[in-house]
Amino acid sequence: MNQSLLLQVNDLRVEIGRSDRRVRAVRGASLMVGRGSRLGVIGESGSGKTMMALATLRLLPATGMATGGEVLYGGRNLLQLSEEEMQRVRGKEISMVFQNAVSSLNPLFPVGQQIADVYRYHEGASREEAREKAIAMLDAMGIPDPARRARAYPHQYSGGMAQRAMIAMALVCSPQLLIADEPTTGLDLTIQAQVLDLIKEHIQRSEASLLLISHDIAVVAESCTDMAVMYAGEVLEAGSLEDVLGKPSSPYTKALLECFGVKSDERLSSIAGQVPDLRSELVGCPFASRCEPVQDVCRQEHPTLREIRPKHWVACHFA
Amino acid sequence: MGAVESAGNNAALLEAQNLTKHFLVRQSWTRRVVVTAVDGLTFRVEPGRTIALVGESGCGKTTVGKLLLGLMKQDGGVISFRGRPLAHWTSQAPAEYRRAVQMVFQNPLASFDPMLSINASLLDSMRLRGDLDRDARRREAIRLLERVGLEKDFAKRYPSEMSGGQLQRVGVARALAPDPRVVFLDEPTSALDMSIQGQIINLLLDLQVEYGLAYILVSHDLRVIRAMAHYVLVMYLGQVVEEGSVADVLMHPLHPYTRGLLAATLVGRLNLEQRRKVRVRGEVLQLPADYKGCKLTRRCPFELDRCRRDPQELEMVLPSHQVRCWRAMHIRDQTQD
Amino acid sequence: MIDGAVPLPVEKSGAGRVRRAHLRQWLLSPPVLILSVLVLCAIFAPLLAPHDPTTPVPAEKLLPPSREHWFGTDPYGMDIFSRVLYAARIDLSVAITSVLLGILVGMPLGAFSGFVRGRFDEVMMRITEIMQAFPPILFAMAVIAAAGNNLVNLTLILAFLNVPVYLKMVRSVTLPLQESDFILAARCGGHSTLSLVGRHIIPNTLVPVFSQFSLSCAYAVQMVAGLSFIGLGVRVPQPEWGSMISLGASFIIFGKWWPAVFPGLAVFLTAYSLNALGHRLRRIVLRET
Repeated sequence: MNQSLLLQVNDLRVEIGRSDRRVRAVRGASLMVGRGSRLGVIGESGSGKTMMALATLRLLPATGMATGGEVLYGGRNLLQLSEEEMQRVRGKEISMVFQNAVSSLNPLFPVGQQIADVYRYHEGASREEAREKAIAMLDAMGIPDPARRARAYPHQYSGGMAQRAMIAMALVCSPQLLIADEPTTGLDLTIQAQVLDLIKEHIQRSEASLLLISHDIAVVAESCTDMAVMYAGEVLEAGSLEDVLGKPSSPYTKALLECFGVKSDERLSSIAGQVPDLRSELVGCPFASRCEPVQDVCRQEHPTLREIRPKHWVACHFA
Repeated sequence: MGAVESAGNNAALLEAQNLTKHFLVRQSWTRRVVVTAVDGLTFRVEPGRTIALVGESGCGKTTVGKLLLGLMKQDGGVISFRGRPLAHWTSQAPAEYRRAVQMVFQNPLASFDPMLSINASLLDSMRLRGDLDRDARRREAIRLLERVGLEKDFAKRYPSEMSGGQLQRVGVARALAPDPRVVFLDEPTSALDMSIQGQIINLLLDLQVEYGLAYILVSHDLRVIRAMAHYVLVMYLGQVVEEGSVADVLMHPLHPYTRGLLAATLVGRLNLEQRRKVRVRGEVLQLPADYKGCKLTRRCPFELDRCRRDPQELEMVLPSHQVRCWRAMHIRDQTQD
Repeated sequence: MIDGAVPLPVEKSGAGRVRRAHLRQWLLSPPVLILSVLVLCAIFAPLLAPHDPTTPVPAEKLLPPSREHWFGTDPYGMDIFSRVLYAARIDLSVAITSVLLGILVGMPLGAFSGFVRGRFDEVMMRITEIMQAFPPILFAMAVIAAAGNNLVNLTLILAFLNVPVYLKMVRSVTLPLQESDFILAARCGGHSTLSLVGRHIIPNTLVPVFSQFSLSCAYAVQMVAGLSFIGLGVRVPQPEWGSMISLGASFIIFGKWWPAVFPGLAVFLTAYSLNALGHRLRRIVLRET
């Protein structure tokens, strides 16, 4: 595997749900996170971005299963590791923060203790060392009065502060890769900017990498160096931020970017139609039903990701 | 509708003057504090026009909605509809007021009774349409569904069987069912996918022209505000800190909070240095009831002692552009951008 | 038309198909089958019973099970099989009626209480606490001693015991609903508090009530049999499972097991199938919501 690549997802497939309503949430998604880079994955509902992230860390719910593909990290396929080996990876090599921080923390234990526990588990530190490390992390995250805050419980934290605490917990063992799934959604706008700056600062400082999942292009544009666009369980376009935003080549990316702007007559752009039913097998391009310049071949043949420019991949017959 | 006399031609369709609402919040077992959710709010809405309320959590916009819809009683100030105060309507013609002011909710799935089919929900919202008999109501429900772009087969479905965008369309249809004049839009698209948001906004714009509706739009999404609103009020902790036409406030924000808010949403477009200068620090604070100074205290990058001491009033600094900050013009000159 | 787009088409909803398949599998399960048999026995007892269940025939007392008397005869010479069939009517109808009464009273009170809160709610809570403080058997004894030993009183006693259960359950389901957006929306549409509770709150509480229903019936059947066992229920010679067990209990040591065992089996099967049904319903209901 290329040494400058930290994480490589190849043709990942994930299914979820009970036997009678099985949903193919991820259908052959591929992407790469380079060392020291920050990849933003953009997708709307049904794109499979969260499932992909969970599959990477083998955190899928009981009814979910990775049914194909591989996730390469450090020369190993994470999908094939045993649970014990994965536990050593989570928190130490790859960490994750989730959307609703207050409910992602255990309500029964003080926040400082939860952070300290992670540190003790991976680094074998003493209780005292771990406690101090936890306070130091909370301080580094800009939480005022960290010693007192460490003794507080999650429900006593505001949304923004809880998110900072979660990031502290994720970064306490200095992982190589941080996966952040909609870390700022639901927070006040002024807080969102603060949290994003915080993540970016710490990632850059520790020379780690970031996999940021969001539905908001502005968030990705602000914090990332690379971008991948997912739709209906597949990656339709990926490349550097400048390339994907500046020279969008997938019709979906182009249509989505238009939605983020305002048209001249003050109407908002939208994409007609809906995401296809993910319970059935799809033939052809998943975006065919909503693509304006669609042709017959789009409905019949499935387009694979190909490199149309150095380091710029698109899944479209006509890019 | 029945015969209504307006109190003169100048009367706005819906008007709030000095609207105030307090809540008693339990902070601990023994302590309860008074929280002023809405503090002296004043605005007016006209047919075919949209005013936007912008703010983050704790600014009071949800409370304003409940007050305007008559779901809650205010503690101070007057709400007038067609020139007559709300008290008049609730005693003389409560159904008429209820019909006239409706709401579209933020989360479509939570705003529908899961036990009722779409058709049943629409019919349920026509309780106030005394002017229609049962058959007419059934026809009207179908007509509304089609007007919002859904086939009439959707009437048999249940809320859980529809996508967010489809259900929000029903939400719009439901708000229109009583034949209102004013619609309160509470973040109507923030729970929806980006690619669907435009569909709902454009629908709302069409309906506004068709029915001459007045909209009160609550949103933090600048694109939506720019596309829909004519006038905007920026709220912070229950107070209006800046108001004016959309072009003025969004292009040339004056209040430090508005600047900070816009900087946060224009994420990616302003460079880091510019953002740092106007950055609003920390989180929304709970301020003591007797505090009289500027509510943005300890968060404002331009704060001085006088800001904490003196109560800040809303002042007209430019034609139809008001700010609640004595330093606003000074800051503008300092941070020429 | 929106943006020149075609009105969105309807896709076939797969959910309905799934629900129907579930229903079929569910209808053929053991608890449902057993319960159906019991209910049918109760309904068609007059047609199915080979002998008169209430006329004593001293000459035929305590005969073991045979082709003539499938379950044998009891100490009064009455055919146990016929009596078990007729007893099903009493046990099942008293149990179901009392639970339904409990729901009829408890549900609206619980919904209203949970919705309006305030003083009404406080009063309701204190009343339910008092009601639940009564030990059931002692309470039954007191009422029967005062008002007499008959089926109506039995039903009312059991209904009384069920009211607080459903009141509290419905109230606890109502509490989170009170804050929801669809209630707010219904208010905007012109609902009064009363119509809100009736139209929007109560239907949303039906699901947990439904899954609790058969569990309550199982308990009620056991209560009816238990009370009759200690002499507080039905009077001889009316056939009722509990009193039949009581009568037959003393004969077991003489080797005459059939007067007690067959009615006991009936109680067991009824309680089991109602319980199993209740648990299945809970699982289906909780998974789908």
